[in-house]
Amino acid sequence: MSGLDSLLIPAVLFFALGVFAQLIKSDLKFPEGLAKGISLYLLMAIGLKGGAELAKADMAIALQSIFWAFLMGLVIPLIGYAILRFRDRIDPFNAAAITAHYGSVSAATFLTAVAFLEAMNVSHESYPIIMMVIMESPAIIVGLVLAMLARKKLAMSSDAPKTGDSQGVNTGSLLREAFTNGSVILLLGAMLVGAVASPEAMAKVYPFSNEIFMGVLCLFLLDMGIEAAKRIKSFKKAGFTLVSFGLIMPLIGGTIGVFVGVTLLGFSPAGAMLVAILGASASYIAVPPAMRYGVPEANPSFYLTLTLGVTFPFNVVIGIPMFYQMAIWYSGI
Amino acid sequence: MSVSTSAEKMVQIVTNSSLENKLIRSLEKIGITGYTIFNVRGDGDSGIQDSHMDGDTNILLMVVVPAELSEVLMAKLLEYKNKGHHLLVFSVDAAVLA
Repeated sequence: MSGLDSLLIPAVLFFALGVFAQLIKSDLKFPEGLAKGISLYLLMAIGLKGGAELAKADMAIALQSIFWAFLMGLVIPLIGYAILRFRDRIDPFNAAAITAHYGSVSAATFLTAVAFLEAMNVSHESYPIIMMVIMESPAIIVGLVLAMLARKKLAMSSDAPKTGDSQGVNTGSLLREAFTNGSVILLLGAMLVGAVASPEAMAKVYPFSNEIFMGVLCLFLLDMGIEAAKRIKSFKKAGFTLVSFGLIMPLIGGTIGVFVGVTLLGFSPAGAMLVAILGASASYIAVPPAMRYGVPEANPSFYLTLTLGVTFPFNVVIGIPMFYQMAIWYSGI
Repeated sequence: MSVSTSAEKMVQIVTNSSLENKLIRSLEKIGITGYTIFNVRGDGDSGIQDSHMDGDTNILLMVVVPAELSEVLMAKLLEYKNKGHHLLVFSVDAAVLA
């Protein structure tokens, strides 16, 4: 399956339907709170599934995966920051907040990639799921530290009297929030349940966690399509530099992911593609609220437009099949 | 028939839900124990806020307090604004049924 065929999986088609519905100004919309509820279901289901598989997995590879995931979470946002700050194109606060989103991950993109592999009946390693959990938080810390440094630099360079107001936010409580945010706790918790529960008891949960999973993912992507299309009108406000960044950054993160997956972790092309998607995707659930509080100087419109309006559609339509081909090609070298 | 009312201020704050807990703690610190919160949607400088995810969920926090306390509250909210937080704050006169 390649080219156009790879787009013909229900999840991607429903995403396209959502975009189409919004473009023709249809009144199709989700009741308030439903998307939040569905995303909780998806995290729980993928956690249960991943935990059950990881219980059978090799501990040494799992630990290596965790190490490289953590490192990717730290390095990718730094690369993004360097790009955004090149020639002072984007101010340091917006650069810090935007790049934090790119170091973190989008579970929906990851799940669409899983759907892509399942549609082709290609099996994949389960380690990328634990990598996804690990990669939720480090980038938030990087974003906060970058913003803190920018704040210090600004305070030193300006003659403005230093007031308590300009000293920013409580870092301790933010760090706690980064590691205890809802998605991390739910994913980790569900993985633990999946790992320790007996296989017979888990089998009873499968209708909920496995059989209806792809259908629910379609529903979620339909909503994501509507949301992505809503952001198109903000492209002009975000500007050419930021929109280009939203397309370039996943290419960089995805390439790093293919390298980590194939060379450093020795995964199959399918597993490496999932790592690439972790590198390429940008968070829109865990990071935006953290940045809204942690880097209030940044404009939320920019990062939400980029992650939902540019990078998510790019990854779903182009990134997933492209990184899969890249992983196959690179594995063959 | 005359109805007895007292003159107070109604302060309304529109902001992102990520600030909700912090704002409530700030209210409690200055002695405001009662408040009302609505989930709201809209558009503006921060982009579309349509309650899709936590990052784009706005709230409207409303309190009705004596004029002196509203001054203290406004000063506290100014601290948030000075840090760069996106808040729309306004107050109006309110006749509260005694």
